[in-house]
Amino acid sequence: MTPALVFIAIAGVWLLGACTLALLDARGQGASGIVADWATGVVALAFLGISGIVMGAGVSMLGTYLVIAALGVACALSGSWRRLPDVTELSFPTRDRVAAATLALTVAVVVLILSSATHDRLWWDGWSIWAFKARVLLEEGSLPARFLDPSGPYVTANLDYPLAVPLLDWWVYRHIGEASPAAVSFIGAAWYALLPALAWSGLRPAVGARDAALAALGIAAFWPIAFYAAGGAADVVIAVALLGAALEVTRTVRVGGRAGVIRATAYLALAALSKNEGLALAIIAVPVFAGALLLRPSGERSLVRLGWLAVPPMLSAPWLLYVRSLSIGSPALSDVTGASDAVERASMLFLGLRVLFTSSPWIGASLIVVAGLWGLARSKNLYVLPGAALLALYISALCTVYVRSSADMLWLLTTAAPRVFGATVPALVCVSLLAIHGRTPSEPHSNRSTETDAVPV
Amino acid sequence: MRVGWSSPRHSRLGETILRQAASSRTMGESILPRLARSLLLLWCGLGLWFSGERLLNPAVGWRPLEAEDRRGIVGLPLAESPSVSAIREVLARSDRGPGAWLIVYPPDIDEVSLAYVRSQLLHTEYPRLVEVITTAGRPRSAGYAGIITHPRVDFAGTAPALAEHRGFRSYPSIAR
Repeated sequence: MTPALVFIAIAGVWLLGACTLALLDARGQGASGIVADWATGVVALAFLGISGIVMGAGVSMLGTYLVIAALGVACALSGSWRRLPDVTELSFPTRDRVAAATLALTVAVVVLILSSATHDRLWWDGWSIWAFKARVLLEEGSLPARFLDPSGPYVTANLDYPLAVPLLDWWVYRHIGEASPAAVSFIGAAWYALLPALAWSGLRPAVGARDAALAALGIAAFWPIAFYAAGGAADVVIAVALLGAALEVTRTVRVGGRAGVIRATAYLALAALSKNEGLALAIIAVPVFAGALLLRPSGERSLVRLGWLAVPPMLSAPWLLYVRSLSIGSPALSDVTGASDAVERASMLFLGLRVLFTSSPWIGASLIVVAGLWGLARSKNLYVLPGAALLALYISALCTVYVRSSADMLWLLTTAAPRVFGATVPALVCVSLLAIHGRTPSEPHSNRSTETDAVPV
Repeated sequence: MRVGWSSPRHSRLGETILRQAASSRTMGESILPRLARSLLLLWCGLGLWFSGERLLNPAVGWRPLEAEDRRGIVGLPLAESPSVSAIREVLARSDRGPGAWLIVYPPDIDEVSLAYVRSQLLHTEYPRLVEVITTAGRPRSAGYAGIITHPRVDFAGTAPALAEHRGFRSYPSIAR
């Protein structure tokens, strides 16, 4: 693995997203803005790649760079680059030494995990699903019919899954010229590194530097995410998308602005193009955002912005239709249990999740969520409600799939639940902190980011 | 000396109590953020301890890549990982072109290990197809470039082995 080439690959995806958001006049501030650029870049890369595969043209690095160049020229001609976002939020909180030290510790933990990932930490799913598809894309330039045969030997690679993660892995493989598992492991860990940055940047204006830094450290040190991220699993992408969408919907209710809706759309599209449950998240977000935008004083104008929420399902449609045309089903949803089994499975799931959420690395986050529910119940500010509703509905959807699936519940609880439910923890903690601090008289803090049509809620 | 609530000392105490009672709502509101910070500290402490313990575990954190094919099983101590290396070695020595190969295991191997061997070989040998079954299973295809048998699978009476490594033997193509 050549670090410089990996860096070029990462920079290319970031540029793709930054140009797209700049043209839409929707780039964000500070670290959360850079994460939104990256998320949008991965969405654009996935859509280009999926379109090429579905139309039979395959995937192309040159074609993608031509798109990046075209977007860059369009940005230059339209003057979009003149509206560069403020990146001052990236700086360390030098006035608060405790927060600075906490952030320094966070960076140290992230660097440890990143350097561990360069030794190839791929876990089962990362190896046999995502890195494998990336290798096929590298070898074949597409996903050939013999690979996508639903009765063929490669069916264990979960053929129906969307392609954002393997296409990003392919992009890195293509730059370094080989199918290096360490590169996939490193990219997975890089997704994980975005989480504390997003939490810090999103929380600091509302909860203050110390609590934001502590939340960033807690997320960085939350092993279930770090382990599976370096393992190449796609759940960390859902964690980024969920946190990004929850923060953007909260911000949109508080300060308004079309840009927040567009960035939230990018996160939801990222989820929808990464995993099947991500598509469920994108669909769940529609009524949540509709309710959130109605909370805004300029309700009727905001409702027009709901049209953006049609984008994630539209971007997912080509792949969904393609796998359906190939008779590729989703194993998790093909067989559903009866009502009597569902009751038993629900009780098993409840017990399993209770054990999970009260175990050592989870218990602190669980208690923060309980405190957040307390804060939400007593909150005078409604702006945290949409973020909380998004998370509650998403977790309910996950539980429904677990209950109705015919897969062995014990197997689900031991192999999938820590990854899938672990991905919700950063967003749960951050929304809980917003709910807790939402009722303090001193909130919001003075360094809250602003938008042109900011209206206090 | 006056005693009781009317004394200056107790009057000040009463005022303090009344002031505290009046500000109880404000106090209540300040408890939650303090509680949240304490819980954040607890979460960070637990997370750092838990992550540190696992990063120091050589099977997870800083284990250098070994010669054996243990890719994709970080943290999963599966017994069959050396056999993947052996099969790949036999495949390399047999040199029968890009055709599909059949790998035959004894029927008593556990399903997780079999799935692991299958997923490892599908990935590492791509685009060559490698199908892994037990002697109780049925091959998917009608013909293979060759067959590799587990050390505990007896193929006596067939053609001489093309290659052997750690008890795994390869044989020329078979047809059903």
